[in-house]
Amino acid sequence: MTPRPAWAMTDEELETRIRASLRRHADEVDTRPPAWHDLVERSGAVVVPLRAGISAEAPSPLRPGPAGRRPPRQWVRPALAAAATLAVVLTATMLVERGEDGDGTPADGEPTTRDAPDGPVIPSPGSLDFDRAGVPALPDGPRAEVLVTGDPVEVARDYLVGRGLDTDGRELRLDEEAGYEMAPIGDGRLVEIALVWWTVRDEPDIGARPVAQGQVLLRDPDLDPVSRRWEIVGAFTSTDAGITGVRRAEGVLSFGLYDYLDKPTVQVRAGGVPVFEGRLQNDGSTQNVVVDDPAPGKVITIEVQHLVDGQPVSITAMALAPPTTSEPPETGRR
Amino acid sequence: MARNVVTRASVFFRMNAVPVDAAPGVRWDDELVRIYRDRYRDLVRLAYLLTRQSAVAEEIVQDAFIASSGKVDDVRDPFAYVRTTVVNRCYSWGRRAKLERERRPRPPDPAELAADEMWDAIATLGERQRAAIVLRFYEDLPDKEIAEILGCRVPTVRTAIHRGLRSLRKVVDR
Repeated sequence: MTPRPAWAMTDEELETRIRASLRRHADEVDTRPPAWHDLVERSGAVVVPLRAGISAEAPSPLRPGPAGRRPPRQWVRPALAAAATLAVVLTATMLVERGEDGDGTPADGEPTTRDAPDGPVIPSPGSLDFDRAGVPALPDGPRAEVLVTGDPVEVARDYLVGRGLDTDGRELRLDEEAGYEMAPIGDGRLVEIALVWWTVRDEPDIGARPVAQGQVLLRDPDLDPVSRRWEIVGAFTSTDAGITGVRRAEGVLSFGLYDYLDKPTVQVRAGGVPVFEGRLQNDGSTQNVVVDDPAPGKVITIEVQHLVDGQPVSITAMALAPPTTSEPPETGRR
Repeated sequence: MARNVVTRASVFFRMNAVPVDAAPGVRWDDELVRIYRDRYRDLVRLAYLLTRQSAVAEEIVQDAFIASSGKVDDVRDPFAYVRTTVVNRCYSWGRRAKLERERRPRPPDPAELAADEMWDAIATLGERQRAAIVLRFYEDLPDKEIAEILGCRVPTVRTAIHRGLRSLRKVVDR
């Protein structure tokens, strides 16, 4: 039997990474069932009579299952009440732990006890569903003179350095050439996307395991094959901590934080304002946070940084457009 | 609204039988709707982990509910029944998709492959290994339940998980 190399992960670490990966990708799927009657009518299947008082579209009563053991991961039920309760408990736990450890500075904006908004989920840059062609560019991206260098690698480097990425003296290495692909925008035209990987390693050997690794996604917005102007549309890390999909509606932001690390301290900034800072729990689950939207009518950047000694060692960022649909103000509601 | 009255009546008649593990006063028809309402998203997520395509996952789950609505006579655990149906349909879909891929090979997008090393490594597993890994590490099911869902013996599940973990380790430790 071949001995396992010293740098290889333990069985427990492997299983933790598997759980984290599965849960993170599962959490990206946010869907609601069509009404039961629509389903059976559409299929031509038999219509099952409903007991009086039960509607397929009514909110979940959150009663336990009647048979067998209680199914795992009950917390992912789509009921808003459960989601709101969970968010409150998790954020409260993280805030308490932050206070006990004393390793975090208080955020300017505290997580609120508000419900998660009921809007669509905006996939994060690490997701395959991230709309790299359609999302707004980061409003606080690199300087204008860097945008026109024509080389997305340089733009990405400037962005990472400009955001204060701390490599602890190691070399920040970016791919020599970006990867390119074309992506469709709403009117059927194609825009060019550039993907730039960055890594930080202990050893110069590019085969060595990276300490940190991530990607910066850029877009040429001009639809002009001659012009070379790159704007950043997202960034994520594949080895660290980051953000799952975001909901933005009704003056509220909600998002999930995940990590592959041992209780890292992360800071989340929205529109340049710290809205959350605390230690994640590293239990393989996504931790949900609900905060006030600092600038509801504007394009804002939401950025997650893993902090070590107050310095960011990884960056996940994306821009959020203002919600497109606004509900009319309600009156008479409790 | 055109409905098949004869079929509906016959289904209603059969549904008067209370399933073995149902709570008192809860009929299977109500139970199926409750599962649909409360666990639909969970099942879509499970199907997504097995197929990696959210639209396919939704379609499979909806088909599974439709199929389950006509087979209610001797179901012991309705949720387990629907979940097994979902996994088996994902399994079938995976086999068909694999055949199609072999006929029309498409080079993978390097950016997609690199986006999540573990996620992509899981996708390289065989159908049974992947299903066993997902059911163990996402659904947290014991070997016995996984064996029931996959229609195999418990030692086979253990072997599938062991080999799946070994394959994943090879990829991520590279």
